Amino acid sequence: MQRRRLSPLSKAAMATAHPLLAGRDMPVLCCSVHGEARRTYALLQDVAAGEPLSPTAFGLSVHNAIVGQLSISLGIHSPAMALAGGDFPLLSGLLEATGMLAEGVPELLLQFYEEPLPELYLHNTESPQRICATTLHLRAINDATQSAGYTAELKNGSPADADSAFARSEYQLPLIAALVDGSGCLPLGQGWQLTLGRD
Amino acid sequence: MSNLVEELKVLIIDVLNLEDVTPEDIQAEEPLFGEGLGLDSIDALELGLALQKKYNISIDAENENTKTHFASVNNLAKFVAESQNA
Repeated sequence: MQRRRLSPLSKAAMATAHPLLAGRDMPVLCCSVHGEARRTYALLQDVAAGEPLSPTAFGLSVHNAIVGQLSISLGIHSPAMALAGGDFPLLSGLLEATGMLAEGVPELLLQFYEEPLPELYLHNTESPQRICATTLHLRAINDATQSAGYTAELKNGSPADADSAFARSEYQLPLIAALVDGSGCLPLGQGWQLTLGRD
Repeated sequence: MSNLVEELKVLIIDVLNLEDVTPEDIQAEEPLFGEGLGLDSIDALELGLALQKKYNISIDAENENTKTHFASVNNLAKFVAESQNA
């Protein structure tokens, strides 16, 4: 029955998180530059037209609605957080995740998701062409003998820089490409980079 | 009245986005909220808004009778019919 509240974007977020969780309970960190902009825009149109607002749409228009629905539907009791990505969403998400792992959280899910924006916003930002959601399962490695599949390291002092997500909305694609390659450096913005390796 | 019952079933499915539910799945006398169809308080607000828009009837959230009106599709149909004749 919860499906009645899920937008196409929240379904994409749910579909990428569900197989990684596999019934486990861990913190979830959701990062999106625009969130459910289409839902908010529909509400604003109703406001402008003097129409009464849909209570469901109003309740789900907040930035942490998707992570809230996800934690309820998948039975997560660990902290569930939503981040606004800003210009450098990969950096925002990965820095926050690294901080949580450094503080002793053993594992977490980090999500990025975006949807095509209403036309009105296209003067100010580039829009993704289609819905895109990526979920990473991250673990802190304290012991070098632990096998992790992939290893990832966040470093400052990168010579290359990343484009703002407002100028290049498909920011998830370089991350996916780097994961498919299984190695390499990914500029994240503000001098930070992600170094990927494979065990 | 039976037309109104069928109309309300379709309205409930449409406004609450009940993807996998057909009008035949909704029993007119069974509870809409909690047990039965399993709707919640946000659904009640959404349904109230849809009734206001479609039938131009006002719903008083403070009125004790409102709970009875929303108990089942049959009760809703009676409420809508009475409000329109009033």
